[in-house]
Amino acid sequence: MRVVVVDDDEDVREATVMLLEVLGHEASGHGVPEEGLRAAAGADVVLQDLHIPGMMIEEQLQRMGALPHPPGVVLFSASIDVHSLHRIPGAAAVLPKPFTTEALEAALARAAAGRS
Amino acid sequence: MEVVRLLPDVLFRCHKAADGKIYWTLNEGGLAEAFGLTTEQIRGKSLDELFPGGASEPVRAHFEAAFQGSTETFVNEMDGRYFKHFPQPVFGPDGQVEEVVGYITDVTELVQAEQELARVNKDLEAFAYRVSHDLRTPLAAVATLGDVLASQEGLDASGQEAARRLLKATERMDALINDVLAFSRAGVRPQREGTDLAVLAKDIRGELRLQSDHQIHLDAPDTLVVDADPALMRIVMANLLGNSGKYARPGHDVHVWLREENGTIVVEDDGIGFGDQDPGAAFHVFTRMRNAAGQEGCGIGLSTVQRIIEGHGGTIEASERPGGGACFRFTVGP
Repeated sequence: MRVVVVDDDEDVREATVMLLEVLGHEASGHGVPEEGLRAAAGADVVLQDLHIPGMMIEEQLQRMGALPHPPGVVLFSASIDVHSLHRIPGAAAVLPKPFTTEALEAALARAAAGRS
Repeated sequence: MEVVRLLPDVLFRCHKAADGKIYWTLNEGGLAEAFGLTTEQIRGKSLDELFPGGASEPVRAHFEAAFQGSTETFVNEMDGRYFKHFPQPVFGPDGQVEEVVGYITDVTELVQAEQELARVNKDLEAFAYRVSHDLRTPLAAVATLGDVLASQEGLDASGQEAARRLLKATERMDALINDVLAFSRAGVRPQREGTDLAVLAKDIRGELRLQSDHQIHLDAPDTLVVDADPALMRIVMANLLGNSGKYARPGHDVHVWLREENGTIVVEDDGIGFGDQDPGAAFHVFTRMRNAAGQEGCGIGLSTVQRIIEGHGGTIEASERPGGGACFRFTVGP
């Protein structure tokens, strides 16, 4: 599937893109939320980091949801409080960092299945 | 009265007159002199006259309660200083409160120290939270790159082994960060509510099943509710059950029993137990018990459990289970 990774941490972003490609997906990484949003227009799933300076996560998700073909969104975060992520509307799955390949695939599948 | 004046604090005495107002008949000690409120200066004045402009409002209810027989202490603030009152009702032959005598002491330094402690604890928790996030982010990159390496075609056996060990080490590091964060959180004041330990234990067993090499069989009642902080009790149960999984007998599943005995919570297993080691030593920070070779962890888990239990005003002890295994008994305070 086509996956867009939006994360301001370059190491995490590039590593995740590499892993997605190894797993057979078409992936691109973006450090700026605006660019991620543009790329999301053609994506099946977006892996969206929770905390990026200057970004309001609710607004970012709202704008993704308003796209003509909204992608499924996986929120991923290194914050321990992943339970609070369930309260943010617009995310199909949450993925704590660091994650295993199995957890990543499961989150992608859930987000892709939830697309309308 | 001369002796009373040597006191640094205040001895007071007041009664309720026919007009329903509270009048002072005695107010002596260092504090009374410092505030210009000695017996001579306040004679015949009511509570409202002593603290004009609504200043009496914060203390009025407490004094009224004392005249109903309450001995509950209270603290009021005046000009940035804090005063603790120890009221003592004096009952007449008819069983009614005739007057209230008591003692007032300046607790400003104590209150300020408590406020400072609360602020430092909050800062420390925020710091630990921030550090754990910032440590976990590069770790996530390492773990993901390890997955990338492990997925490379044409990787020989030693390359695969290296990738496997790299991933295993990142998992340990992740667990370590969680443990350190839990330890720092264990110092927060518990927010008590009805917390079902049986439900928590079943939840945690489900999570552990995905990670542990050993099956954990849990024997728990349908419900076991205690008045404790649910987030902190989750840390307690996760550590106790996690340990049962870690210290299982090699090649065997482990059974865990959770029950209540006269207000004491008992968690025991049929794992390897403590052997000839002192079970109490398991609570020391960074002590890893023997026979744990190859097991994950840093020896911080049970210290965290102890901090949480003691933060609730409870106690915890470890012992060898008759028939083999570890046994933990704890209370969560009044």
